[in-house]
Amino acid sequence: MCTCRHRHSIFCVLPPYILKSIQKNGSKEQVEAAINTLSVDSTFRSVRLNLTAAVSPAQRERRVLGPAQSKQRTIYTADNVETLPGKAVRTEGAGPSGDVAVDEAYDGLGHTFDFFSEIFDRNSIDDEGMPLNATVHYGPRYSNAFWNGQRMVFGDGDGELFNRFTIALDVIGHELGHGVTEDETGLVYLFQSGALNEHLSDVWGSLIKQWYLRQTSDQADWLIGAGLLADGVKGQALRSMKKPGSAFDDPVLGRDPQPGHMDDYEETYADNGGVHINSGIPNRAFYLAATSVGGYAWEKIGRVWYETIRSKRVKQDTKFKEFANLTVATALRTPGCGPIEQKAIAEAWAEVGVLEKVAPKTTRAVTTRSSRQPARMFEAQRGGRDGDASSSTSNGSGR
Amino acid sequence: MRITLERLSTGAAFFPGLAKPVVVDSKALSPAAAMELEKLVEAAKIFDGPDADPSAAGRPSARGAADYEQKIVTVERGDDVRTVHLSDLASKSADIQALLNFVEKNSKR
Ligand SMILES: [Zn+2]
Ligand SMILES: [Zn+2]
Repeated sequence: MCTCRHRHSIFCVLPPYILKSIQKNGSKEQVEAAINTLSVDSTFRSVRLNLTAAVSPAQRERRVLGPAQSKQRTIYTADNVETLPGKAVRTEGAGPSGDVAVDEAYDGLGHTFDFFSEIFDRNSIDDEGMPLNATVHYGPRYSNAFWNGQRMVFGDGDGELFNRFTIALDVIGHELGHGVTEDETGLVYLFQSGALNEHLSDVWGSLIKQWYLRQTSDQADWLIGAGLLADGVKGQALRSMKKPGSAFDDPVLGRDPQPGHMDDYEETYADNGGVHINSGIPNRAFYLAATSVGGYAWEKIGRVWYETIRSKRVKQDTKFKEFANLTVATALRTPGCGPIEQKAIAEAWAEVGVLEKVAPKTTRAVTTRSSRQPARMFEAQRGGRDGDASSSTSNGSGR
Repeated sequence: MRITLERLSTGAAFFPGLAKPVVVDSKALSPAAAMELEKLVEAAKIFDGPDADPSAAGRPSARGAADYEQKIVTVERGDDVRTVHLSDLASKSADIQALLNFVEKNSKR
């Protein structure tokens, strides 16, 4: 917690690790540059990438094929206060605890681990067998689930608007998926890169549910968090990948704000720059590609998405267009996929306005320089309700 | 005294209805409730100490974190205005929690 006297600005939403790296008393240009490139504080990631590169392909192969992948789950309870990690109540191999949230988290993490292991041959979050830790019963009536960078945290909901957050397998997969996405891409949780991060978690969450239920792409509901909204709430889920913007329309919650096309892209400071809003656009592209190809979504289009994040070409500041082009290019290198899948993917991205409509027979992706979204946001906001020329000093961040 | 609670992020999904700022104005409260609010603000030490750096509002372990809630509480007492940043990634004191509970209970959406 901190108290301060200032007009709200971008500094209120920037993650601390970015804020800290912005030079003290940095000029407007320096601050903009830092926000725009989001290249700050990349030390950790480059160190890790270098370590990965230092391992020979044969060694990497062995690591993947190596010892059997085994899960190591520990479920904790926060006993309805806001404390982490809480008390361990069920460890790997132990039988059901009788506490429904504990057991749902245990089982959900198990299905999620098995999905990544069996379908993508991935050994846990970091592909190196990272233990899976989750805390349930977080806070009093806490209506949310989050990933804190190390563990998954689930609230019981308030019972009026929300049920317990362990009720939905795709939400458990979504939270664990944030760990996978962070490990492979480091996509910064702001603006377009943040919306891609959200999109990827929805993809993993939805695929895990479809795989668990053995549903083909036309059988799946493509909802995220079905069952989470309490009885009486006007809505069916948190989001719809099939029809973004249609998941809820309730007097208290408001209306699902997700766009399904770039024409309706929302520029905002709320929600870390609209990460759960604009993710509707790539979500719909994924749905369109998966249903166009048909069959099990995890076998083809899901596989292309996974190979894309594995390629090391998705960077922490990658935006929609760049990511779309990477998926198109990756389709041809993905086992079991080819020109048919590539065409479906390119058409899906065009349908949502991220890529140009492709001329028939054109299969090669064109890589274009991505737009400089955060800089424009920063400008727009400075001129708007929070903005004044002195905001970078009056908000106290410069001291 | 006027307190505004704003949710910058509503967690794993964005709910426009929950993100709308809510306000509690002591003028609209009963004398007893206004007194209670006064005490809660006092206990939470909102006006004590110097202005802080907002970057202290989280921890480095926030790297890679997602779906956390972020709130801003603005307390206006006369001309004095203070802002409190709260996030699931940083623990909050019991006194701040008590103030939050009061605001949520006494504000209408
Ligand atoms: Zn602020
Ligand atoms: Zn998320």
